[in-house]
This record gives sequence, C-alpha cells and structure tokens, in this order.
Amino acid sequence: MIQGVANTSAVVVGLGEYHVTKDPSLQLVCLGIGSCIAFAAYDRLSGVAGLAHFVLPEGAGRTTAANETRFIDTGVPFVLEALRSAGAIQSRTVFKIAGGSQMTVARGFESKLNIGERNAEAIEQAMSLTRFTISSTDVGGSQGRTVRLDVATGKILVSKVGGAPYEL
Amino acid sequence: MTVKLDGGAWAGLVERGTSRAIENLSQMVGQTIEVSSFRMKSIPIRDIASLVGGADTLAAGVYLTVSGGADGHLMLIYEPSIACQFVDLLMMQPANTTTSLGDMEQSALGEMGNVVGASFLNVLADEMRMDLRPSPPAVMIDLAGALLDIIAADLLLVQDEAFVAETTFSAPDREVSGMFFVMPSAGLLKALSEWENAA
Repeated sequence: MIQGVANTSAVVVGLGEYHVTKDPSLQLVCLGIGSCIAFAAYDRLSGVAGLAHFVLPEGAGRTTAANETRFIDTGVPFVLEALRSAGAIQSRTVFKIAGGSQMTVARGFESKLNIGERNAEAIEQAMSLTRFTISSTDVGGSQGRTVRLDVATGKILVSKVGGAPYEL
Repeated sequence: MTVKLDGGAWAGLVERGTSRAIENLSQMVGQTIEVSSFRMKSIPIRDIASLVGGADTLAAGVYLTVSGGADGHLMLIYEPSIACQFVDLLMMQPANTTTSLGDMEQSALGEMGNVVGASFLNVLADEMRMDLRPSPPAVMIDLAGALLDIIAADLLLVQDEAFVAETTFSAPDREVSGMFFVMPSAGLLKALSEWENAA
C-alpha cells in the first residue's frame, strides 16, 4: 500500500525492466533514475498503462532476448508491442519520458556522463521511427528523479530531492 | 564476456588494497578509522542500489573511475548525515559542526575519495604490475539509484552481474561509517582473473 493513496500498491520497475498492466490498483514506479530513461505510456480508454526503465541507448550487438528492454533501440518496439498485446490502441496512447540526467559535471567524466544525453536523444530517435510522438518530456539536468505512474488515472508524478513532486 | 573468479586470491588483493586505503585515510584525518567488515559478492546489477538501502534512498557518493591498463569503478557512499560527520573529521572540527554539504564540504569529501582511491589502486597496480589510475573524484548528493546509474549503465552493456567489494569502516569516537564499493568492469575482471591464475 502506498502512503496517502488508498488501495494502491507499487510495482517497482527496475533497471532494464518494464511493466504493462490494466490493474487500476497499481502504481508503476521507477525509483532514483539518473542517466536512465523512464518511458511511460497510458491509453485512457482501455486503461492500459506501461512503464519501462531503459538504461542505455543501444545494445551495440550485445542484445539478447533476455536484455532487450535494457536498451532503447530494441526496448521501445518491444514495449509498444506489449502495450498493443495488452489492449492499448497506440494512436490514442499518450507517451511521456523522464530522466537522462548528467549526474555530475566533474572533470574526467565527460565520456561516461553523456549517457543521459545520449539516452534522451535515443528515445526521441526510436519514437521518430514509429507513428507516435512523445507528448511530454522532463529530461536532462543533474538531479535524479523518481517517476510514479498511477494506473487508475494515468497521472505521472516526478519527484526530485529537495523539491515537491510535479506532474509530467 | 563472462569472467569467473574463485574469489580467493583476488579477494585477498582487494582486501589488502582496501586496508591500505583506510589506513591512509586514518593518517589523513589523524584519527583511528578501522575496517569493520569486508565482503566480496556477486549480485545482479539491477540490485546494486539495495546495498545502500534502495534506489530511493538519499546518499552522498564520491565516485572515481579507474583507467589505464583496465577500467572499473570506485565509490565511497554514505548517508548524508554521516558524510557531515566525516567532513568534521577531515576538517578537524568538533563533531556535529557540519550540518549541510556545500561546495567546501564536498571538496573535503572529494579529497577523501582521492586518498582512498589512489591508495587502493596503488596496491593493486603494484601487485598486478599494471598501470591503474584513478580519475578526479566526483561528489554527488542525490538518490542512490541515480548515483549508481553511471556504474550500472557501464556494466550492463556487457554483464548482468557485478562483483562488488563492500567495505564498512568506522571511527571509535564518532558515529561514522561508510561503504567503499569496488566494481571492476570486464577488462579489470579479466586482468584480475589472469593475475589470480598466475598467482
């Protein structure tokens, strides 16, 4: 049960994982996202919701059946198919993304720390290959985010350290 | 690439490196700091944040990368209140003087990362006869999952499990304890495996 939200249970979507559901008692959560991308989808009429936690822009030849939702290039089509299979009509599904932070700007980390920026570019690129658009984004910066998708309403709340949660 | 280590010789090497690092840290602050526990483990990378209380836990991290002959990641990680206690130790102030982690305090924590990282890598480099260099430290205060994303993203490209050397340390007169994580990337794991086989 989630504090302050009656009859709602949290499903934590971990690194490289995704969850698609129609269960309105659930809240899908990506905790402490830094350079990763939280990819949220919601079809209000069918009630199908999905949340994916992508880690890297592409698998660079290392993608397998077990890890394709770790990478954005293979993960986006995979999750879109999972949403369709669950009953979502993709033309009316709303897609939103959050994450892609650069956690530090310290000297010597440039090559590793542009993962967040590359992830943000990769998700835009992956979606541009589909018929669908991302309606709302909250990417970049240098802070981590926690992203919560309420399946009953489709409402997405983003929270950062030291700030009040805001709706995406 | 999958590298299997038997956990014997290389665990000893990492433990010696860690002990040296904590000794040097102790000298730096002029107070006894002791290793409370040392554990080597292999865990799924997606579960790394569970080692520090979960991805949504607020944490202070001092992060260094390893480069040279092989690569890897080092991170000192604390609860923010404990990091404040360490700042007091480092700046030779009475306990509970530091209550927030501004630029100066983060700089002190970064210096701590320099000492621990360089001391640790010197032991590995000497024994493995390999060039291993630490990056400048990056100090971050944020959700633990976000801090560890950098490491997870690098490791998850080629492996599902992370070898983690987890050390806790403490000072006898203050409530300070922290964790020192060593997470070799595939190249350093391979070098450690070769070193272990030759040992």
